[in-house]
Amino acid sequence: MSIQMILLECKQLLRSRWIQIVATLFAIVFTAILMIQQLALPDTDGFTRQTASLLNILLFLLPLFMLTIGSMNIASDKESGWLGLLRTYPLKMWNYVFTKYIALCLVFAGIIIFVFAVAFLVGSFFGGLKLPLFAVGITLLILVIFNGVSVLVGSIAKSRLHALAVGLGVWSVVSLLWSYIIMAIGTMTSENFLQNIVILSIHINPLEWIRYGYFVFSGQTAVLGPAFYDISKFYSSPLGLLFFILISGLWTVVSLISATVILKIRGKQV
Amino acid sequence: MLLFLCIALFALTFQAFAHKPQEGTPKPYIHTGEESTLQKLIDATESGGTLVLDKRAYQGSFSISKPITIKGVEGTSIVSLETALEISNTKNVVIEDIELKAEEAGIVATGIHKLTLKNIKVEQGTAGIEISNSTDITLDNVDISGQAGHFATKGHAIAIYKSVNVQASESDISNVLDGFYIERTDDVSLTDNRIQDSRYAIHMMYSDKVRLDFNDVRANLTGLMIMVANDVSITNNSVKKNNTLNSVGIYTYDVNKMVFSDNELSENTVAMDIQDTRNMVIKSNFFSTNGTVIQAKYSGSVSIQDNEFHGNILTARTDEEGVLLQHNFYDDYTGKDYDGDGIGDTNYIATNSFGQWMVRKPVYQYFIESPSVATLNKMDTEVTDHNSLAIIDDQPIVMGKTFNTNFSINGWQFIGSIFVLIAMFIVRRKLI
Repeated sequence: MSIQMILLECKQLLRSRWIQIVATLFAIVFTAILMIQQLALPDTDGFTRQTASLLNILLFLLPLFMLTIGSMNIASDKESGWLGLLRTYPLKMWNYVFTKYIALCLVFAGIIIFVFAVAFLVGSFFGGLKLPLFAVGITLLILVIFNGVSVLVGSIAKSRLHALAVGLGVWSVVSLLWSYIIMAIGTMTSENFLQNIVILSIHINPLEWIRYGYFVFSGQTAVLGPAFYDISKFYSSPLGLLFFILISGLWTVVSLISATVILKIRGKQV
Repeated sequence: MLLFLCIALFALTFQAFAHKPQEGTPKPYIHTGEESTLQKLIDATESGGTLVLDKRAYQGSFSISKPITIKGVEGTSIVSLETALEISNTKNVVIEDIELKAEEAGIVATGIHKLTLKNIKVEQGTAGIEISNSTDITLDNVDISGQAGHFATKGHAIAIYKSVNVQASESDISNVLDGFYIERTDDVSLTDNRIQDSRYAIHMMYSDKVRLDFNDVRANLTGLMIMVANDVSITNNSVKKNNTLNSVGIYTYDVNKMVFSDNELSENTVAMDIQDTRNMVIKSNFFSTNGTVIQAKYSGSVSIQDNEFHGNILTARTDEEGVLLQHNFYDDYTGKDYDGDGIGDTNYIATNSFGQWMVRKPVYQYFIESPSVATLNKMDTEVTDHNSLAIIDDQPIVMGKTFNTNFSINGWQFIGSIFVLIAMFIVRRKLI
């Protein structure tokens, strides 16, 4: 994994029109939500509908962009033969995967800095903007986890179209279908059982994991109701924080290792 | 010489218990001497008299069983290892300008007709002020503060049982179990009190004719808890930041005939939890940035009108028909007013399927405003019109939203963001 390779990947990503459109769209939506919160609502620390909107924008859009762009980027390498060419070089597959991952993280970090800068620029005309600290933390967490997942999706896909389809599929499951399925199960089961599957869901759905992390680390677990008091108490403790970092790291590491293994196997099959 | 000493001692003792008439009142007057205990002074004061205390700390537990006015000055205090003052079976008792520090209760009063406590400060031990079986109670500027710690180790600040005609105003209460605990007491008026960091700010049950006005209630587990009451009026109060686990701004249970108007409720987990309540009018209130504004269970006749809703997550949820929403302003109303009459041309749907699920199974609350539920709610409002349990306002008010559009440039943010954007532009140019 060399800096030149990472820079090369960054260059390719930044040339993409898709990335430019994404950055513009994200900047407009994010700034609009922040400005509405700034101008129309009193200064509050609590979880309001506008806070929820901001959180949902991050949870909805960022994973969507990362899953589609990241996965298509790797699939594009396969489709164009670039990956096949790289395989002829003495290049380790984990080197390629981690280069992709770092490049994706850097480019999306750049997009996010751009979006924050635009929001601050607009907000500076109205006395200055207050960016909730959770927005930065959640964004970083999404960046770290979902770029890893997008690399895994890209390694599974055979073509760009396939990557787009799988990426959108994964996104719709983690952001929408998963919750609907659990809610539907809840209508037929006891409340205790529902509570247990929700807790399980928090740990096996990266989007739920990040959302739950927001509530824990912003001290807003009361919003979730009394049913989650015990688990929230655990994750609010130092041991819980360690466990949270561990699981978040596992999402990334397992995704990248899986991608490396899949690409190696696929490489041998060719 | 011996005779002179005897006369001097007799004169000193006599001076200590001497009665001097107070200006403007024919009642006897006592000025305290350093050697006298407070109980002796109380006993020596004639029924209906006024006892003025010195600027000092009186130690011990004292009892009153006759009409009396006890006035302190700045710095007068009573310090006790038990209950500081016990007042029983009498009338016309006034206690003014005294600070109480007691291991048990500050004041315990039983069977009093006309009790006035004014400018009293209590550093609470296990309880603040307890009054029972009394009539015509006036509490004015009674400040009570408890110690930090779990609620299980604290007592109520002001507890009133089986009494009639209670008026309390200008009290500051913090860090106690319940600010006001009122049970089986009628004709209650609490005005302009400030209660914070307690379990319940005002906890009331089995009471008739209750008036709560201009109170400031914040950061408690629950703001106002009114149970089994009749003829309740709650107006112009501020109920804020009751937002921990299970927190509620106002909880009502088995209440009949209640008017709730001109209050401000913000940043509460649930602003109003209404259960088994009848003939309730919620009018002209301002609800902002609450989790759920109104949660109604088994309440058949609740009218919610002319209120303003800003930035709340869920406006209303109910499990029963009969909650009437009318002529309110909602900041998330997306309808238009083409005829310009100030009323939206389409209905505002305040509730949705998800809200009803949350009432039935609280675990669903985990999904509140999650991406999936936000999407679901959008779709849900399109088909909820025909749901009999949906709370619909057919006259939503349309008015210009108030934006604080004061134009003022924040130099640091302006320069900083311009600098970052230019730097990013240069980096991108260099890279590509």
